[in-house]
Amino acid sequence: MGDSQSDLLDIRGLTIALPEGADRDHAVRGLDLSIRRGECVCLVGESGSGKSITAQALLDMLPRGLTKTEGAIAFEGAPLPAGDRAAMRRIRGDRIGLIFQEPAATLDPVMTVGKQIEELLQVHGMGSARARRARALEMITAVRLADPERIHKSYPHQLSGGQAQRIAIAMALALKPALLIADEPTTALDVTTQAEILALIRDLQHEFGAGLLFITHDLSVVADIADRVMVMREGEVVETGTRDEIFEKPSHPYTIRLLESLPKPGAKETEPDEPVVLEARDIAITYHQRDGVFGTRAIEAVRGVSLVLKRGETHGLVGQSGSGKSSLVRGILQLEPLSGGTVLLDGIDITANGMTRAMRKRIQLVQQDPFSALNPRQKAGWSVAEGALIHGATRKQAAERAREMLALVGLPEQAFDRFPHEFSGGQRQRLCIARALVVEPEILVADEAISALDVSIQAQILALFASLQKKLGFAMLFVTHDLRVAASICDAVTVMYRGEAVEQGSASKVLVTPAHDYTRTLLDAVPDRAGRATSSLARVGSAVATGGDPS
Amino acid sequence: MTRVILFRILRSLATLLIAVTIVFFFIRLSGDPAQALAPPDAPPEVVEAYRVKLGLDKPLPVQYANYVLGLFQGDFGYSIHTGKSSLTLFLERLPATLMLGGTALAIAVIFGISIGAIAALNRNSFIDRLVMGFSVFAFAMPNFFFGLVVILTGALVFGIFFGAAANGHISLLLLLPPAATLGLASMGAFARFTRSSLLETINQPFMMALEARGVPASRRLWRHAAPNAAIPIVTMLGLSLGSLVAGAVVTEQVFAWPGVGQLLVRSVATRDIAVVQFLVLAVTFSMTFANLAVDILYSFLDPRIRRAAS
Repeated sequence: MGDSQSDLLDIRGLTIALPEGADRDHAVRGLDLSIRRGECVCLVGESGSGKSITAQALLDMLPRGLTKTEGAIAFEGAPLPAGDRAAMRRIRGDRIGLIFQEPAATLDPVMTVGKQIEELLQVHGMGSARARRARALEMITAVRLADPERIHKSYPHQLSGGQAQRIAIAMALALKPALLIADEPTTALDVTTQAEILALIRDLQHEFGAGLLFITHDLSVVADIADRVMVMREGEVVETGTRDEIFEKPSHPYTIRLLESLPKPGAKETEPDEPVVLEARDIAITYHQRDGVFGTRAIEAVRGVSLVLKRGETHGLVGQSGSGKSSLVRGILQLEPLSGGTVLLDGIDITANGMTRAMRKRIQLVQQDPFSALNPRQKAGWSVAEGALIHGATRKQAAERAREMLALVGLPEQAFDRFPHEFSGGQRQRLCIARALVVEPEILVADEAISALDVSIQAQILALFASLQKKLGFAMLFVTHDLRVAASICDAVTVMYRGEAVEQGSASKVLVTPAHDYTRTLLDAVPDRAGRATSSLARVGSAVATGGDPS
Repeated sequence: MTRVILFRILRSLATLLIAVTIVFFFIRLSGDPAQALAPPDAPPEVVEAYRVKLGLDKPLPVQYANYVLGLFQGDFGYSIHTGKSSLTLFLERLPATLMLGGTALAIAVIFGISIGAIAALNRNSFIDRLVMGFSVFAFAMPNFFFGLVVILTGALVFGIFFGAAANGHISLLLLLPPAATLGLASMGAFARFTRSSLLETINQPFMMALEARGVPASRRLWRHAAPNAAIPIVTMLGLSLGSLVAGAVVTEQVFAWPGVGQLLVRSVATRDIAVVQFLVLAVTFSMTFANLAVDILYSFLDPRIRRAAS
């Protein structure tokens, strides 16, 4: 692993024990890792693989119950003073900077961001208030935020996710640390913002000459930024190599599986003509937000969007957060009043006459967050059976039906009597799908249904959607911010931007030969599997300079 | 911002008017005051004379209009028994009640927040359980009973009679027992609330982020955890005023404390309508005002609300 003299960070045999009763003995076992100055090492693995625990061990901030049982950590040529609170405090934030996953949640909500940057400088010994302020503004400029003075006196809630992450980066780099740790820094962001933040982290890392430990579950992100990649699974490193080695000649089966589970475009061919089951014409949705005491402000969330869904077809609704795709879906489901347009379900206008319970049965929803979508105090089987009960089945029939559905979505028989918290995220999403399908809908609406899941689980759930659709023949309206996902499952695609449908057509046409600038920006922002990352980032960089953050 | 505050003040005035109306009609629903005032065996003519004297012979809407008009002119009515104006009676009693209520609130806030914070910082330890046990006890203990226990303990164990304030000399020794009795329940509530609010704040990701940036523990607590945790506690402060007022009525009675609460109980017992009406109005006013102050304070503490308001 290179010349140990120039190693900035050198971890040998790091082993961290989990408390008794956990599903395995060790959070991390026998981890060797070294980073040189200016080098970027990516730690890739799914949640629970021990990658974040490794970062916490570097800061001597392991969660309660976890203990380092073996291993040596050397930082800047000396052993890390773990256990020495004063010494560790001086290292944190000063020599090691950390960037987190949830940008807004990691800022104090009642303090201006400028003050928070200045506080960091102050606690690490920058004496004069004027110097601190100057440095804060300098860093805000360095992370390419426009109008630094205004940002300086803003509170975290006044910033978008991308802006907040830029502030977090500014704080991580303000004291010119030797090592930068980025723990899933782009996971909570939109695709285009993701690309900008990745480019920013990489540029600033070079500029400041820091070593970078980049932690992510998303291999495609890694392709843009890594010098070396380490793949972790269940606490152990299963494969290590340069970026090219990992992407071109992966040797461990797990790495190969991770690479294969990245959604690939063009996986589905279009079907012949089928009858139209759902049609939305010129949908407009306007929100009235209270403004001051008596006034209201109108926000046009959706403007004149039409779409057609045929039987057995999957229609993708693609756009960033705030593009109006969720509002549109809520409008179609009659959960949000329309300010214009009509929705036809099997040719019947449901906007004028409302939806009867029997009609609601035909169209079902699977939501983004499988954790909050289930009643935590209701047994899984009855959550699923409830739909059948509402639509007139007896308790016995409903339970029978629920068991069938559970088997259909690949859950074990015992699942019926368990509570939601006993399931993993992927299993819960299977439950939600079973719950939606139990009433045999003609249309399934999946609203960001896989966004909250790990990549390999995402692939499984996508495959499940596809096979269920083949078996049961329902049409699907698939809402996603991720073009790769849309490409792998959809027949037709509608791209939404600021409340309007900017592009519509068959998936292959829209995604292969995009006509609209925005679709192109979205496509460019998708991190590439192989090394073409540099060019795509450069393009986004220029798009950012002209367009910027839409939120 | 000023527009919002103005709006809140208008809303508070509306609340006051509603309270005044309710009190006015309820008192008249609960029996004929003239009948209650006159001696039990008074002939009907005498009762009638009382009625005319007090203006109770006029139709209700007229009485109500006269009453509200009087309020706007600063005429709060006169006590039937002493002939003094309700305002004067109230002002005579106010200092004693302010002293008692203020001390009780101070005890509740200072001790409640401190022990709640200590419990949160020592989560799941023996101290935490002790504090939580105590706060349940404090919250659940009825103050009329606890007051009696305090008086008996004082008299029998220490040889001091805590009810002596009735004779007009108020001292710290006589103030603390009723104040502690009155503040006890709120103290328990504050302790629990502070504990959960602080725990929630401490477990926020940004607190971990601060640690990862090398911000010292004491600074994390005082500069970050405290201001964030204070926001819900301020709401609690406004609410606890209500229970203090309610508690004062009982506590003053138990300790023979010469305050407004005692005056209220006495006036209700003797059907002194004007005084009761005014006292309820005064209590409503102070509650409304306290909540208004909390609202405004809230928007200073929380920038998210400040922005929504402006």
